[in-house]
Amino acid sequence: MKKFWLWFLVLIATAAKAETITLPLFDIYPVEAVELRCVDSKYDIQLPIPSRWKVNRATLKFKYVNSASILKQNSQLVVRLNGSPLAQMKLDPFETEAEAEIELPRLLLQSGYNHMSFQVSQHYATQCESPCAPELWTRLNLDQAQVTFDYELVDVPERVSAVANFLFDPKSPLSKPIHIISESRSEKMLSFGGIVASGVATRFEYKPTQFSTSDDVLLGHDNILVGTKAFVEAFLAKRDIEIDIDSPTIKVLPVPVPYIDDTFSGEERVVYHRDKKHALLVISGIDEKQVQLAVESFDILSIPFPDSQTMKVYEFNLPEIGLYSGKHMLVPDRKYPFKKLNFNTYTYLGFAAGHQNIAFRLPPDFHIKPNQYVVVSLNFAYGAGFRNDSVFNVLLNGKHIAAIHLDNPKGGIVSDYEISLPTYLFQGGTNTLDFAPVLTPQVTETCGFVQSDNLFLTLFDSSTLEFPAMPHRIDMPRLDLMFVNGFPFTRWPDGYDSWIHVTSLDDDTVAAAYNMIGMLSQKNGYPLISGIISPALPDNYHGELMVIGEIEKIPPYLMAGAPLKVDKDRYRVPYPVFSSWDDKTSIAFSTQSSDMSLDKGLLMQFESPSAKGRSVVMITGKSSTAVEHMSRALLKTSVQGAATGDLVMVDFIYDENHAELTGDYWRYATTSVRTGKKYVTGKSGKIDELEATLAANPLYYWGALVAVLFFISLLAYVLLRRYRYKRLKERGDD
Amino acid sequence: MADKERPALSTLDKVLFALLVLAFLYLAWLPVDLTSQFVIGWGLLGFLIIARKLGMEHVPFGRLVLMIVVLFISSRYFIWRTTGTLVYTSLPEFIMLALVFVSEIEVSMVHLVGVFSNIWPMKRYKGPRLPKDINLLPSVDIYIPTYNEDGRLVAATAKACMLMHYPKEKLNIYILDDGATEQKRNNKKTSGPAWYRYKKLKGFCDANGIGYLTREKNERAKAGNINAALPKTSGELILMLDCDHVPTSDFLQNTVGFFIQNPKLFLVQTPHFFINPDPVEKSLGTFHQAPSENEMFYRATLPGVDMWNSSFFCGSAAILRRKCLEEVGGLAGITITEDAEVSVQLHAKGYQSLYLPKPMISGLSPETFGDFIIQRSRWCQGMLQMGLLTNPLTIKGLSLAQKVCYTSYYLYWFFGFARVMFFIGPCLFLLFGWQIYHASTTLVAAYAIPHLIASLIAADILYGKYRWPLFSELYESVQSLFLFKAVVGVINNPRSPKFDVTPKGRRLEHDLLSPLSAPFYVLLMIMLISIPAAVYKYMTYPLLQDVVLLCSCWLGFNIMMSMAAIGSFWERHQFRRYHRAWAKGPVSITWANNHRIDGNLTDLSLQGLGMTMENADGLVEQQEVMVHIIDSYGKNYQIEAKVMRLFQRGEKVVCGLQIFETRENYIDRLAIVFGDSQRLEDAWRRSAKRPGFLKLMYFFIQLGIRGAKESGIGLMLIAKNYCLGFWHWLAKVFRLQKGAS
Repeated sequence: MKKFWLWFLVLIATAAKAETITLPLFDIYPVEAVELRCVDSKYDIQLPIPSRWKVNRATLKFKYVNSASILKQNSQLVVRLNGSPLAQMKLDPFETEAEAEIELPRLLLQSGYNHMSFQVSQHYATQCESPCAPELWTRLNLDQAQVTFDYELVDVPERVSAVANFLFDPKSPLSKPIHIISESRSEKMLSFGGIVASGVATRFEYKPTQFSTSDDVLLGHDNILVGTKAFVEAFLAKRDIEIDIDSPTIKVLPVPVPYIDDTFSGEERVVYHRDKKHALLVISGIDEKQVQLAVESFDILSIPFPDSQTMKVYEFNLPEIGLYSGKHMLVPDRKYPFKKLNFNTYTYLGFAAGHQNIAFRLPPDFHIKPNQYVVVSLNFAYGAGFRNDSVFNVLLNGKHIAAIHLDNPKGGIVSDYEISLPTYLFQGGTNTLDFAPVLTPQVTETCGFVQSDNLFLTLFDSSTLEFPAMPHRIDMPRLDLMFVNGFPFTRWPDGYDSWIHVTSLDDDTVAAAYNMIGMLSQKNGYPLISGIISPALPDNYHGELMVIGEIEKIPPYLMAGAPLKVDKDRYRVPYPVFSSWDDKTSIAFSTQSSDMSLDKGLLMQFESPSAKGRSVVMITGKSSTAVEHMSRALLKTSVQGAATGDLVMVDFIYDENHAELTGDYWRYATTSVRTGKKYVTGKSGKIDELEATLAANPLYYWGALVAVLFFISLLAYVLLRRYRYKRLKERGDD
Repeated sequence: MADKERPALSTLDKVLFALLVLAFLYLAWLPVDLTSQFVIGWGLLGFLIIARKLGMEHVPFGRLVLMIVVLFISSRYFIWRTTGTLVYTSLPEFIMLALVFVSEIEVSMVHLVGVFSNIWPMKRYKGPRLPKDINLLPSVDIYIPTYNEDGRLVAATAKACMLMHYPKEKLNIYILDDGATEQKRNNKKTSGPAWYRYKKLKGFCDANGIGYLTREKNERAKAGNINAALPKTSGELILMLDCDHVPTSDFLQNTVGFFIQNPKLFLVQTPHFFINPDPVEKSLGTFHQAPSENEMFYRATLPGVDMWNSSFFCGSAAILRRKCLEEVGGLAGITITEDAEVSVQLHAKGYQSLYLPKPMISGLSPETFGDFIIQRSRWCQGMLQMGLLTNPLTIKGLSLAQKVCYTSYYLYWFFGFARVMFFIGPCLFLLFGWQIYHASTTLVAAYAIPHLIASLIAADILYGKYRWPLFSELYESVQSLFLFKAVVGVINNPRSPKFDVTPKGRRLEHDLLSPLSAPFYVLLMIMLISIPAAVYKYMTYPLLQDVVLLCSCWLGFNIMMSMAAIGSFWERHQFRRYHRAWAKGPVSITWANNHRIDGNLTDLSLQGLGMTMENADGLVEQQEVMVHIIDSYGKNYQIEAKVMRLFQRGEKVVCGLQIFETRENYIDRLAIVFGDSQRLEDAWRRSAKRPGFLKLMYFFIQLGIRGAKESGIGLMLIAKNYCLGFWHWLAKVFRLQKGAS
């Protein structure tokens, strides 16, 4: 009976605990401050609720500012959740700034994405009104909005299908580290851990995913146990879990939580209960080969199947993947219907018809030639009775680049309207093509009835986008590209030709490696199944190399090429002196005996000393803790956005004020510098050594050119003179 | 068969050269970013300009360096053009894009082989001295083939041949008359004029000791005529002269020595010098103001290819060795330019040719634009036939250099096709939106413009003295539409062309608009319509503004060129019976009471002369005088003449004299006007100072405006004539009806 009560208490303490969190809205959904214009305008967002949450209560708090010229009596802001109106706020011209706190009813909130809309109807007159007068505006400061959730976790279903749709949910607003326990720190086991981390991070999509590692279970977190039969069985047996591994296996278990039972003595005092709110994923096999099959299979569990607690794997086949393919990546020289790019036929309606976009990615090392064109072929239909200034705007990455004049007052269906866009307008990585019509009715007299129901434009998903064939060639170093799509480690989307070297095997360094492989996978949208994490460093490695570890443990021959070098307690530090408008920075180098703080991390990129055109990316700090912290910092979009050039220095600043705003005590100050030598990389990372040298050093090119032109002229002259002499002799000339 | 000798290249030479060429191509191919390309393109261009200012082109090594730099710039352009701009968009666009690209390749190939063949031209203006022992001199036959030309023209040439400084026993002159063959004399339609011609020419020959040869049938035109004469004559050397090519008296003195010295020599070619303007020069008024079109060929191209033993027989003003000619069966071949074809055959056999850049014949250019086009179409068709039917590249026995040179001769004639493509290129984009050149303005500025300017610089170094910028373009534009047809015809059926004789010695009685001008008006109209299209496109498609701007500049150039071309269709009549040739040298006139005035010659013809003097000193118009002229050989001629015009121009007095034409003084007149090679050389080498490029542009714009104006008037006159004709026809019909009623 006493035992029962102890169980009960533990369950209360660990499982049924309800939590209240307040988060900035932009942590949940990429919102920004928006201005709603015209008499009727709307802004939609999707509010994500993770599957493992049971929300008890939720509130949304935001501020808005409305125009001082509108009429209170018929101007209002309506907030709807999944179609149901939650609140109606009168827009008061005398109180232009207001704050709304809206309770989001528990019953309306479902797990998944909840459609939330902010709609204004606003007027400055009761009649004879211009529908889009400049005075008609309301600004929603959603970038400062906060959401408070009172929730509790539901039990993890003990089914393998939970891997796909429950455990690693991109809708989760919290980013708790995933804990990986591996059998050992051998190259094989580290790489398996990396593959697992890669698969987990890919499921979290763009949500920053942290990993931790140790040889024990981390309570209150999801854990993944990776190892061979002997290790896994022994590990679990210690925790009162019996398991028999007889083939490559993936199994979902609750997390065993130890507690001390004073009724026993010695080792028997430690007993285990099950934390069903978190999962312990077991990925194992009889030997390493089977473990590899299991971890690779884990990475591809993309749909909720199977529903059994255990999955035994017999075969694993990956689809054929090509160089430079990957999630949302466009293959050049191919025509893509919009439907393939996740754009479904859409009808724009009314004055403020909004915009729709398609997003796609381009390999960051595309050698964008100014004389090549992307062809967008549009099929669309539009209504009749439009005024002559109605247009269909096309925006690329937020910039207006083309417009189609909707000049037929009878409306019509337009097929294959071709827009040629120069490729230089595009950028390596993610691009967004927006389609935003501006529809105006013919009758817009101030006092007349303005019909807006005829204002429609339907863009069909049979429209196409075609990118021309383009070569791969880019000037490096470009750390920013690593944060675009993991370049250059993701040329092959599965991480082939990439090697992550850890300088030591402590938990922090290994966790840093998992964090980085996770980040690269997310950027790439494909798990890095072929990536290798190893404490060893191969001789003359001819691929892309990432080195993670304490600064003093970095191999000297690699450190020699780094922009900031350490050699026997001496630092060689580049100091930018000035920047000129032509993007060149003058660098002064100081060799000094000094030290680096523990709250600082370095990220560097330079050409591999073993292979031309290949890169070394180095993540380092004064200690392994700093290295791990640096890897976490690199998951932050603010740090990623500021990382350019070849040397990125990140200072970790403990700031309580920052915690109040974001819930995180650390904020990061990023300094980026371009200091090192330029180098060139081409397709597959291969580039002719001579080509790379000549392209990177214009003076060498000129030297070679002058020499070739001179010697070719000289030789031609000597030969011609000889020939001419003979000819003159034949002719009898002198 | 002659011994063959090739320029010996050691293995080391070959390896070194191959390595350097590979390095050259590698650097030309190496992709660099746009900024670096700007630096390379414009940097090398800057070097070219500075090097020219320093006169580097006058030193052979410097000239070579400049040409190789130009080749490098152009190589980078073509590699980029091939790899970066040939984009498939749609079938019609791609077809046009490919045609424009092929045209560019053609132009550049011609340019490239031009650079190669003219890299180090031969310069020699005199032949070896002849031995004093006449027994050592070879016998020479002079062939004057004629078809339907005026007998007086033929007679003048034959008479001039009689004046040649060469032992009479070693010289035989023959008129090869195809205008009075048995076939013609026996044909009902032609027998009258043929018999008349036969008697007249034969009578002239008999009276002057000249051989008169005719044949049974008119087969294989001029080549057949010459071949028929070969077995009937026996001279070791044969001087070929067109019947309007009047030779100077020292022709044989200057050329025969080469044959004595070099037994492997089969040909000595000399320039064709024309005393009258061609129709384009006449229409545009550029005769004596700018170098003639043929000067580039005779003063730059032939000296250039002579270095490679590739100068070829141009049909006249050349001496050939009979033995060699007979070895290949005479002027036999499958093209209508047998003269060039026979040169290929003899070069392939290891014989050598030589070009002496000294004018020693005076010829006549075609008088009308139609005749001009007939002549050029024949050359074009013949050379293309040579390329297509015999393909010099595959002929065994030719050296690589000779193959390249002969290839350049026929490749050049595709310019008609290329020029038409360049004419319509911008219109296709501006009117139909067809993009046939995929490049932004920046890229054009980085790649195309340096290539274009470098090519112009190269052309200027190679031919600048003899061909001013834009003149080539004008001549090519004028001929383009007609030669385009000829090119297509030959490509379609290489064996179809027939030999059309160029009419010579005709006289235009009135100014007239050439009927050949019509297609140019259509072309100009299309170009003018493209202007508003360009404005519309510029304003409507902001993304295409740079392309529109580029096309507009291109269009502007084309319009200027076609307007200037249209100006050349306005044909001016010939005032004088004989063309007056430019001349210089001392001249004196004397008249009654020992009056004497010394002056300087300005022009000469069989009918008169012009001179300037310090003052008239009692001389009046209609005064009969005796003209005293000394030629370069020291012979003094006295001819009676009458002062027709006398007026002051600046500080000088200009005097125009009409010679009393008598049968007795004909030989003297001939000797004065045509007999002195120094006089021709003076005229040939006179230097017309070349204006700057901008001035030339201005000159061409003026030409365009004037051309458009004059041909506009011409069009109105034609329209007026049509209207009058229609009016007369109406009146006639009306009268007939009235009469009937």
